This record gives sequence, structure tokens and C-alpha cells, in this order.
Amino acid sequence: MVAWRRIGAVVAIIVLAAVFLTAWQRADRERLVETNILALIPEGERLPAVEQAVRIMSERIEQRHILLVKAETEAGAIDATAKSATLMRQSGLYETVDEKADPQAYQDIARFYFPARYHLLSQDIAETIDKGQSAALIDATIRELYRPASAAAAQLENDPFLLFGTFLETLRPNGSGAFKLVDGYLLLLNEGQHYALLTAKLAASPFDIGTQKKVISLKEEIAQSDVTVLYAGVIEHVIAGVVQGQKEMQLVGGISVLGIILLLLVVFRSIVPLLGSLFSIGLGVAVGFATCIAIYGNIHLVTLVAGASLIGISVDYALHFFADIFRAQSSWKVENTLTHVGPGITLGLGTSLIGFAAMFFAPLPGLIQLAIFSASGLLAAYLTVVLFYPVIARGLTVRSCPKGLWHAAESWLSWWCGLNAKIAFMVIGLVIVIGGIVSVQIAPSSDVRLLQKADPQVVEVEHQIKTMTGHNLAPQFFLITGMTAEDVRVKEEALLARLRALPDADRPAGWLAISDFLPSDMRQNENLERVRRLADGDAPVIRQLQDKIGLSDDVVSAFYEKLAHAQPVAFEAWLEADLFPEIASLWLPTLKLEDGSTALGSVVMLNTIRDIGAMRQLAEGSNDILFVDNIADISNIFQEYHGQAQLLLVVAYAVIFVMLAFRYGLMGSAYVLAPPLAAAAVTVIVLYMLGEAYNLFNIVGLVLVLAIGIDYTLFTREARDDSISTMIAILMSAASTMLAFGLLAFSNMPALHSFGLTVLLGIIIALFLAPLAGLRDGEAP
Amino acid sequence: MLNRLALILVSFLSFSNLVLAEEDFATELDQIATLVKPSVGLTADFQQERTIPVLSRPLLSQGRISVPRDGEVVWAQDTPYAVVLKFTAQGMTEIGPDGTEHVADNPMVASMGRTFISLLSGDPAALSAHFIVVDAKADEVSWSMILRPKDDLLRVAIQTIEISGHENIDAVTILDAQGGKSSIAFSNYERSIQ
Repeated sequence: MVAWRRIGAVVAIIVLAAVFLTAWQRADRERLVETNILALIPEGERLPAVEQAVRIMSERIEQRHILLVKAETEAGAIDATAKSATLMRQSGLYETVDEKADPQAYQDIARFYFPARYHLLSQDIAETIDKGQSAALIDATIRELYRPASAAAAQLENDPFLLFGTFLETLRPNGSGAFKLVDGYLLLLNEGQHYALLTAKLAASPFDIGTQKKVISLKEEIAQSDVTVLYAGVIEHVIAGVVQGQKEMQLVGGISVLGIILLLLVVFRSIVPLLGSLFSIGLGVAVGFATCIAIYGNIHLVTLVAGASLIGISVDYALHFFADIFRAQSSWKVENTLTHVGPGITLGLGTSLIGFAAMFFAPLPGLIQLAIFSASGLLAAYLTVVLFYPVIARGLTVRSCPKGLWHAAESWLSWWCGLNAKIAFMVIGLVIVIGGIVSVQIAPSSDVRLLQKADPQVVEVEHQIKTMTGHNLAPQFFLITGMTAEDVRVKEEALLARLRALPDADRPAGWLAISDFLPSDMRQNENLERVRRLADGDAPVIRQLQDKIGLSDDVVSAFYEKLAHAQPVAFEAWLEADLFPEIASLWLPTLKLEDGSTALGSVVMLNTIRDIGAMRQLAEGSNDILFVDNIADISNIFQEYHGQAQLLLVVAYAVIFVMLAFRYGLMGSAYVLAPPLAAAAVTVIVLYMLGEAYNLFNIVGLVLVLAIGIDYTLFTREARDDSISTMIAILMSAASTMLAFGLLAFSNMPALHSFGLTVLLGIIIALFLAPLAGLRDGEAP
Repeated sequence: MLNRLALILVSFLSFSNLVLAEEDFATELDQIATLVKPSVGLTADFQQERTIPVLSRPLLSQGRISVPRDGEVVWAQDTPYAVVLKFTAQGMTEIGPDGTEHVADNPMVASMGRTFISLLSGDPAALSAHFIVVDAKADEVSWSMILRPKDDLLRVAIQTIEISGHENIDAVTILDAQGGKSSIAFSNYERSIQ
């Protein structure tokens, strides 16, 4: 036995070393803990081109940091913005900081487009010409010239209809008219307060821990210089998540660790059980962590938190080991302990592993990672008990159980003994059936937005910024694909025309699209034809204008000359000039299609969508135009897997039932499984009655309830002459589980709240029902 | 930001990089401040003459201008055609003869509008927020100033602005960078009951 343990220990240490070494090599040091909930969803659920576009757009959105600097006066807002921008530049955190218009950039842009001015017309002008409203065109020109404080006069020489100015005016994101420009700064007046807009692009991913810390201190620095700033961007959610997560972890972790330490010390009055338990759990978490890192390179925050909880089951093994002291009291020998508790904890491990194995078959990366983390960690914790506890506990002082605890366990057991086992079993069976019906009926809420509800303050500020600026931080967009650049741009223009034609209530508040900044070749040629129409005919419109305002002959002949030799703007030249990096990044030159070939694509980003149905309709019936709503897509995927996870759980417990039937017989197996199933059923019913969201994380919680609940009943069943010491172990186990995970019910993160509440309810009920497993067809235990 | 592009001025063709030394005209500006009466509540006739090199004849227009409240200027043109333009810090609203309103809220017009409003206030403090004072003269009854816009963009379009007056503004002359010139003369000032 000892030799067997020694070999086992050596093997375990070697495997452990290998796992840690691999983890060390494979660790993604930039992003060790993944916090983006979207990473939990499977890849390849959608078209590759959509995945690719979503990834590119998400990265683009991820690094944006939007600031609205608030002040009482315009000058105050400008001053504060300049200060903030300086601090931001000094921090070295940003690739670009954009707070003030650069007049040079305007000139570059005007200089670039100017030669092709007759190929570039604003929507309004094109329509006016199409309708043959030459009088209106002449009239508009004259009005512009007479208007006081007009800059039009300067343009007349090279552009007698003042067409270019109206085109340049359209070179801004659709729907961004709320801002005015003061000394190069973009200002907005809202409810008596002046706001200046400052946009920046982070140099690194917001998920980079170094970046997060630096942004936090930068924000403190900006706040110190007496500047009020509203912030928006993915980085804000990440920071809030990190700060909140850390706070919660500290609080929940602190209370539960303290509670568990007190519990162990008071009951065992020795330091060894405490150290042993901490060693089991600590090693379990470390191994789970290392295994995930070794496989994935990083670990998701949800896995870490939920997985650490699941490994917490391992404290049960430790508790049963040490509670064995109370069975034998003064005659206790460390060598005999495993003989008594070994089968129970091995069966407990076996059933837990089967439960996790079920999650492993869910085609959901998040669940698989969780299963890997939990299974490996639990196995490690189990091995510490089996391989090392007999050594650790060798010199343990044997103390008697605290009297109160002993009596509590005793009276609880005798209450159950007074019950008719068959009736109790039938009542529990009925509860399980009702719970089963409820869990099928209950509408699962799989809206991913509910699962990752961020800090309400961040959301509030983001909403303010969105309303004021129209910036959209959600990846909702149209994806247009085609075989040539021209093909894509023509399709995009057709889509934009349909967007513009929507009634106000359905139209998005604005959008970003390449063809708003450079029309397709086709449209450019159509534009030139329009302008040529102004020069054609018996009484050309240009001559009419000449007569009206006394335009010089030179200007008119220059107009004809230009029309004869006008060249359009080539798309490649536009990309090359890189005048609008933000717009150019909407161009996706190498999209992979399903059949492996590549295509070209462009994205139309949408601001504040008013009617999502209308957006879907625009893309309907077209293979080349897709409406992508990443969040909704993911919510759908979550919903799909929700059902699968539930089904897998049923399968897992069918397997466990058959397995246990070999040891206890069919009825015995039913007695062992009924209490945890009833605990899960009652939990589902209570969650339903409380109106709680029912989601994937509740299911994970139920897995834990079932796993721990089966441990309780297995130990009760395995305990023969030592049922009271077993009850004490179970009581302590339940107390520690509630301390450790039940506290998560008070978490602000919806995912953790769902999980914690489920565990809290489930464990209380599982604990209450556990002695049923000890009742054998009416016999007293 | 892309929005700012709306402010592009196309007069880059002869962009003048002339930098004028900013001198201190504190005495003159103080004197002007004592001479000029608040513009709110004033109404006056205006006559605008705009000469543009490529046009064979100047563009003439006439009408009434009024400052109904702080930060708002109403330009009511009678000839050669009737139109009412209301300038505010937010932009310009064009009110047709039939009462229809057309709002031009693009930053370019708004920026020009603010310049215009501050010009007509004649208040040196308001003016120096938007302009560099290149020259200023003032005696017991009359004064004149030559200004250049502070805003880089406006500077591309406007070379200098000359403004002169007594207790009210008499004339504003804007020289644009292309050699064009707009002169606005004001007369028949009336103060509405405030």
C-alpha cells in the first residue's frame, strides 16, 4: 500500500511538472486571462467571411477610446481637451490622439479630390441635375455668392456652379451634424454644457493588462487636472470589469477563506486539516489553471471563477478524510482512514468526472474549457488526499468532535429515520418530475448582453456618448462582398440608396461607408455626364449662369476645357492616399469564401439602429449583402447550446445511475441519485418562481449541485457504522461550499450571480435531503 | 475627425502663410470699448457690395440687419431678391418669402456665422476671442480696426477684415485670399425698445 502510494506520488509529481512546464511555454503572456465573453463561443458557426469581418471590425472597435470633455464654457472645453490630449500623448498609450482639426489635412484632402471635382457630386446636386432643375442650380449659386460671410467667391473661378464645396461638405460620417467646429475643436452643446470630442486609438489591445493599468492611472491624472471627462470604449468595460471582478474576488474570496479557516479550526482544533484542505484546493486550482494554459495558451475569466468553484468540491474529500477521526475517536489510525473513506471519495470523483465529461461533449469552447479545468483540478486535489494525506496526517492529534455539532448531526439523522422511506422517496420523485417539467418549460434567457452586463455606470456614460455623438461601439454592420472592387462599391451604393430611402423611424442614426467618401467608377462617370449636361444644348446652363452674374469668358471656357479632360479618382489611388484611415479600414481586400476562394468586401458600420428588422430586410434575398449583428448571433448560439447542455446533463446522470446500480442495485442507485436530482429540481422551481434569469450559468451551477449532492448521498450510503461522523463531514462540506460559492449569488456580474444563486439553493436542499440515501427501503441507517 | 472636413475651405489654391505680429493695442481697444454701444436691440440698413475678380460686375444687395438678442443676427435682404438669414452660433437658418425654413447647420456655415456675429457686436473683448488685432485706431468719436481670424481654417479664406465705426459700426470690409472683397455699409441705426 505504501509502496503503491510512493510510486503514485512520483508519477503524479512528474506529470505535474510536465503540465506546468508546458503551461509556462505556451502561456500567452499578453492576454493570460481572457475577459471577452465572445471568446466563449464556437468558431465556424457562421460564414468564414462573416467571422473574418467580425474579427477585423471588433479589433477596430476594441482599440477606440472616445472622450467627451465637459465644461461650462466653450473656451473651458477647448482648454481641458488640449490638456487631456497632451496627457494622453505623453502616456505613450495611444497610436493616435485626435482632438483638433489639422488644417493641413483639410488641404491635402481638398487637393486630392479637386482635380476630379466634376466626377464627384453631392447627392442633392445630382438629384437637382437629374430633375432638370437648372434654374434651381443657378439660383443656389447666386444665393451662395450673395450670402454674407460666405467663402464661395474664391471657388468660382475653377468651379462656377460651386459643386465641389457641396461635395466636400458631405465628406463626414453620415449623421454627424450635431457638432460644430471652434478653433479646430469639435464642440457640442447639450443641456447647457459644452462638450468637446476627443477620439483616440489605443496602441495595444484593451485586454492587455499593462494597458489597463496605465489607462486607469492616466484617467486619474486627467481627473487631477480638474477636467470632467466622459469616456467610452471597450477599454472602459474591461477596466470596470477588472476593477469590479477584483473587488468581488477580494470580498467573496476574503469572506469565504476566512469562514472556511474558522470552520476547520473550530471543528478540528488542529492546524493540519486546515493546511491539508488548503493544499488540496490550491493545488487543484493551480493544476486546472496550468492545464488550460498548456492547452489554450490562456484562460477565460469565467472558466477561472466557475472552475475554481467546481474544484472546491475537493474540500469534501479532505473533510471526509479528517472527519474520520470522529468515527474512531481515540482509536483512530491514519492507516485505516483511506479504507473507510476511500471508496466514498473515489466514487465521488468518478461521478464528478462523468458530469464534467458531459460538458466536454458540448460544442461550446467555454464549457469544454471549464470541463478541462475542473476535471484536471479535481483529479489533482483527489490525488493529494489519496497520496499525501496519509503522510501529512500522521502526527495528527486526535480530538473529540464539538458536542453541539455531534448532536446536530445525530438529531438530523434521527429525524430522517422517523420518516417512511418509501413515502419520502415518492414525494422526492414527484418533485423531480415537476422540476423536470419546469426546466423544459422555462424560457432560457440566452441574451449574451445579460450575461455580460457591464458596470451600469460605464453603460450609462456610453449611452450618453452614443446619444450625443452617434458613435456605435457594437459590431453591427452590413458586409458587402464581390469579385472586384468596383463590384463591391456599386453594390454598396445600391444598399446606401435603400438605407436613405427608409422612413426616418427605420433608418439608423448614421453610418460609415466607403462609397460616401469615394463613389464607384460607375457613379463617378454618371456624375460627369450630369455636369456635361450643364454645358450642352442650345442654351447651356453655364451660359445662363454667365448672363446672370457676369461670369468671365475665361471661366466658362475653362469649364468646357475641364469637362473634356476630366479624370475620375481611381479607387487604388484613394486607398494609397490614405486620407481617411478610419474609412479605409472598412475595406476588406482578402475575404475568404466558403469554397476557399477569396473575395473583396466592404463594411457599412451602423450607428444607433432604430429598427433591426428593417436592417435584416435590406440584406434579405442577397448573397452579397449580409447584415451582421454579432451580439444577436452569439445570443442565438448560446440559446442553441443551452438546450444541448441540459440534454448532456441528463445523459451523464443516466450513465451515473447505471454505474451506481452495479454497486447498490437499481433501487439503491435510485436512492443515491434522487436527493441531488430533487435538489436540482427544487432549485429550478425556486429560480423560476423568483423570476431569475435561467441561462447557461445556472446549468453549470446545477452541475455543481448534482456533483456535490451525489458526494453527500454516496458518503451517506457508504457510511455504515460511522454515519454521524459522515454527517458531520457533509455538514462542514455544505457550509464550506456555501461560503465559497454561495456568496457569488451576491455578485454584480450576472453570470456569477446566476451560478452562485443556483449553488446556494441547490446545496441547502441537497444537504437537507442527503440522509435519504442512507435509508434502505425503510430500514434505519 | 471627419466631421471637421466639412470645414474645408477650397481656397487652398493661394494659401497665404503670412504671419502677422500681434501687437498690443490695449489703449485703442479700451477707447473703442467706451465708444461702442451694445449691439443687442439695434436695427440698421445694410448695403453689401461684393467684388469677385472673375465677375464683370459687383454683386449688390440691400436690406435691414438686426440683432434681436445676444448671439443672434438677422440679415433680411430685400434686393436683388428677398431672403431672411438668421445667424446663430449653431448655424444659419434661411427663411424664404413663404416662411419656409431651411437650416444650414454645417460647421462651416456655423463658424462663419459666429465670426459674423462677433464682428457685428463690435465688442473688442468678443472680437479678440476670434481675431488677432493687426491694427487699431481710435479717437474721441470714431475708430477702426484691422483683424485677422485666429481660426486656422478661416485664415485660409479670409485675409483681413477692416471694421470702422462711431458708437455703432459703420462699415465692415472683408478681403478674401483670392483678391475678392466684400464691403458692408450700415446706416439708419435704430434701437428697438428693450
